[in-house]
Amino acid sequence: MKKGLLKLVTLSILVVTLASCAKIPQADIDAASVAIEAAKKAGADRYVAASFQAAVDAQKSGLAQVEEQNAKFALFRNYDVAKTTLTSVTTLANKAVEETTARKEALKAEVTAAIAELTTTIEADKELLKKAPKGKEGKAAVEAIGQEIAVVETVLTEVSAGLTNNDDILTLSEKVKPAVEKAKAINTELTDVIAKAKGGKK
Amino acid sequence: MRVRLLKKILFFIGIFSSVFLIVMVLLLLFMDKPPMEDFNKCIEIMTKAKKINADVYAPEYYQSAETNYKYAFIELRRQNEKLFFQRNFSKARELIVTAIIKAELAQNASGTNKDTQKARFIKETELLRKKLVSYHDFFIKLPLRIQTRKDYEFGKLSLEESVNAFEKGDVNKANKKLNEGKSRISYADAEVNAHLKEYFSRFAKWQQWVASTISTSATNRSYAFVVDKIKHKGFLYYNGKLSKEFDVEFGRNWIGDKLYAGDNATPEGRYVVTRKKAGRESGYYKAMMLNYPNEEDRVEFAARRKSGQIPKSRGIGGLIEIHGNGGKGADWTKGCVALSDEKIDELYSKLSVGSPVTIVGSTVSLSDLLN
Repeated sequence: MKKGLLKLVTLSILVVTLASCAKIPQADIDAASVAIEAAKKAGADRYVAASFQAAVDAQKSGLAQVEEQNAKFALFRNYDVAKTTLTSVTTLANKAVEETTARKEALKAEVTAAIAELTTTIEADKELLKKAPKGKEGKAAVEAIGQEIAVVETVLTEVSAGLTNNDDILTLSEKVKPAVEKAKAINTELTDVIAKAKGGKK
Repeated sequence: MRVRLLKKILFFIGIFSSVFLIVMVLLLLFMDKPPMEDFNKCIEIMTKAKKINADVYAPEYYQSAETNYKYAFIELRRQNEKLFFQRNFSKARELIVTAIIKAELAQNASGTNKDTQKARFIKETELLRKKLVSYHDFFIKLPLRIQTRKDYEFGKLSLEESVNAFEKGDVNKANKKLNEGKSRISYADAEVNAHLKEYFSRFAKWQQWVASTISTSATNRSYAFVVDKIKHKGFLYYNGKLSKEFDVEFGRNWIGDKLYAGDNATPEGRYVVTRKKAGRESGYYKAMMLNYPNEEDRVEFAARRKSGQIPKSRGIGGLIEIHGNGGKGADWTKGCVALSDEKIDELYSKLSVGSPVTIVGSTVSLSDLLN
């Protein structure tokens, strides 16, 4: 009877001891890593850098918290805080992916609009160029403006092809903006020159 | 008997457990503790550093902090995998302290470097803008290759992209685009500068010609005409004093001296009006023929032909005039100097047969011109 009781007590102590040893939250660690990688692959580090960095910082903290517990005696380990942090990493990384998608969509819309604006402006520039007077700066200036339009047109072709080929939308957006400004500046320059010439003929 | 044995066993177990427990407690009390506070501090500083773009403005310090943190963490994990009484965190501690120092340096250097980089960026963009303004105001008149003009335009667009990226804080992109712009503009500039330097090597001679022409006008109390190709201007002098300025046009290849017949270049030299033509005599409203080629032109032509600069089949050319039908705003003649009909009327009435006409590349030096 006594022997049986001793066995039971020993077994109970062993079970309680083993049960008290908390497990490393490996699944959460892995999930966090996968989420960060997915966010990076989506381009979150470029499109929504701050959100991505928040996820990376949380991952660093979470892993440090895991090691903090690992350093403790097995019986005293508690990974609850680390688990919460690591779960937040996944949430933050997923949020960064969503934001990236939204940002890309917004940029795509912006680039599409810019391409349309650039196409129209270039056409208008070409029409104005035909009407441009051969004044003091004359033919040479008109030729130079024609070459400026050709350069802007090259950018338009490159950006349009890039959009079709799903090239990096951020790069396309950065490329098209100065071209639109340039085309508008040409338009203003030509409009002014033509207006002045008309005024001069009166 | 059995009870006594059991008691004895329990006693030894108790003694062993107590000793084990005491040893364990002592080991736990004195075992090496991981530098977790330092790790947390490092994460905090690195986050702050990253927020102020230390990775961009102080990349060496920031990268060093990142690397040290990474190795410190690997070392921490390696030690944690050992039995607790075997752990030694001194290496991890050393690495994480270095990471903290580097992160702090990155944070501090970032502000200063940002200002320095900003100043450098502004200086470089201003320099490029200045070059582009020179191009727009002056070089645009030069007979440059289409590719050179395109280089200027692409350079201009790259510069704008660079400025936009800098304003957004994307310094790497800004520098990349700035370098692209610089490279395009420098490439075009090199062609322009080589062109101009070579061209202006004759400036001393031009100065002498102009001075002599003005002096002749003063001595003879007569009219003299000086043509400045770069400025596209004709200056009418009377009695050694500037009397009037005219806009003039030249041949398509106006920059450089005339080499041979049909090269569409306007000659440079000291000439005189040899004949005046009007009405049916001239196909260009009114014209004043010059004595091109003069003796100096003939000597130069012979030397160039001898050196192989000019093909043997080419002649020296002639029939260079100052004529009307100009005012087109383009360099369209075959080498003559053209004025609008209204202006040629005026000039025609002032110059007579024998009037000196001097054609030079420029009346001002290259540095004065560029400034």
